[in-house]
Amino acid sequence: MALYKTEGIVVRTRNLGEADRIITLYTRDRGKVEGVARGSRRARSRLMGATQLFTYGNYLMYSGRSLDTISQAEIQESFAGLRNDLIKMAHASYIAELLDLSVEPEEPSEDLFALLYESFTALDQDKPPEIVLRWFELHLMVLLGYQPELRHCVGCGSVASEARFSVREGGLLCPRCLSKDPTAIAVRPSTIQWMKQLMLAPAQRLGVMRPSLDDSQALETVGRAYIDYRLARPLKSLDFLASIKDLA
Amino acid sequence: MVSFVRPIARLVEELTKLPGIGPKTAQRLALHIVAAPREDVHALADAIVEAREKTIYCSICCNLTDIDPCRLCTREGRDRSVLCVVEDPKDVIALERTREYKGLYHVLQGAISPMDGIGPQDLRIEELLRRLQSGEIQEIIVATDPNPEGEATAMYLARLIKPLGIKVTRMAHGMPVGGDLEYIDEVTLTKALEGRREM
Repeated sequence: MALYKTEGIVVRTRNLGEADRIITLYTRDRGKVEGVARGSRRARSRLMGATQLFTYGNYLMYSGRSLDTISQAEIQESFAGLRNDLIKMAHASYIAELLDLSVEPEEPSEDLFALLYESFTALDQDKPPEIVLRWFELHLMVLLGYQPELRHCVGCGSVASEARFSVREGGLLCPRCLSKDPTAIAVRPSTIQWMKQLMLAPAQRLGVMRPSLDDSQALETVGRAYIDYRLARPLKSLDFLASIKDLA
Repeated sequence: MVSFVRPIARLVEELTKLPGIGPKTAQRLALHIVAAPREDVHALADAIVEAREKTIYCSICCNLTDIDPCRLCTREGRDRSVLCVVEDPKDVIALERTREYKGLYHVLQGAISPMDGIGPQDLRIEELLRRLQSGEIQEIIVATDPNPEGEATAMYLARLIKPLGIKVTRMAHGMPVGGDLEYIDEVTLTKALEGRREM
């Protein structure tokens, strides 16, 4: 049995049997890792605190024949704020689920880890949750190799004006190339501008970005459509996000 | 390859469907059942069928019961102004063991879990809101689990019920009896500090 140390963020927990839990970590050095936290649902378990959803911690694991086991765990940052606020919880769930579904196990990417950490930090620090989501989506796409083309038409390479956004082609289409993807979404220049800004902005700047209501909605439509096309599977946390909005 | 005769194989197959029962355990159980006295086996089979057939959800508190409304809902001497909201029937049993709580219960039959696609509409929340309309209930004690799903459920309920002018309280978080302070995580310790009481 090989012991290893890693640091990561809990992106998913599933109950296993009576008192155990399988947790999915996105780690800095190993990518997505799953491990069993034995007894972690018991009130007196030493693993309980550090294996809660959204926690950033240090983990000592040993690799077994099938699943790895978590032998010790220590919290670095609990991100308790993400669990103690309904809105933040809903948004953090979306981010965690999206990352979990986007990556295969054990494909390390320090950039993805940093993106997750910064997104959680931004949510925790009361940055507007909608903006954090859009920022996360765009940067996730960039890091996975699907950076959308927002300057030139993906059909002819001309500087795209009055363009539509094609999720299939991964970027803007000018009116002449629209036949490539007639389903391309109409977007206003201001929305494209916001997408460009989001791709360049560091997480600390998200608090000062205030797109208009129309632009926010358009950013959501385009972002969600692009994610759905690339991911090709439904995200369960979307329903809860919607039901939270009904409540507010 | 020699396999079990058809009736035993069928029993093994059914037993494997139970939680925590793998193929080997199922085989062991099946062989035990086959060798057991006839009356014991009939008693087991009857008990299984009876439990399934006679158990229903209480139309008031949504707990499992054999009569509707259930005994806890109709019992004399319970405080009808307090309502304790829990996730599942096991929680009612646990709270009743304290002999401290004299109010009523409401069983949600689960907790909100965004990533598993379990939302408020999948829980018995509408039934809960209907119970509040009578005006008899003055306090809701939210006793969902102290994990992210339970907390999300608690926060959701608070948002929904507080505007109705009913007091909503949450069970305290803190140090477990008989534990070691050094092994308690910082989140729990913070909550325990916040909720400290004068001695």
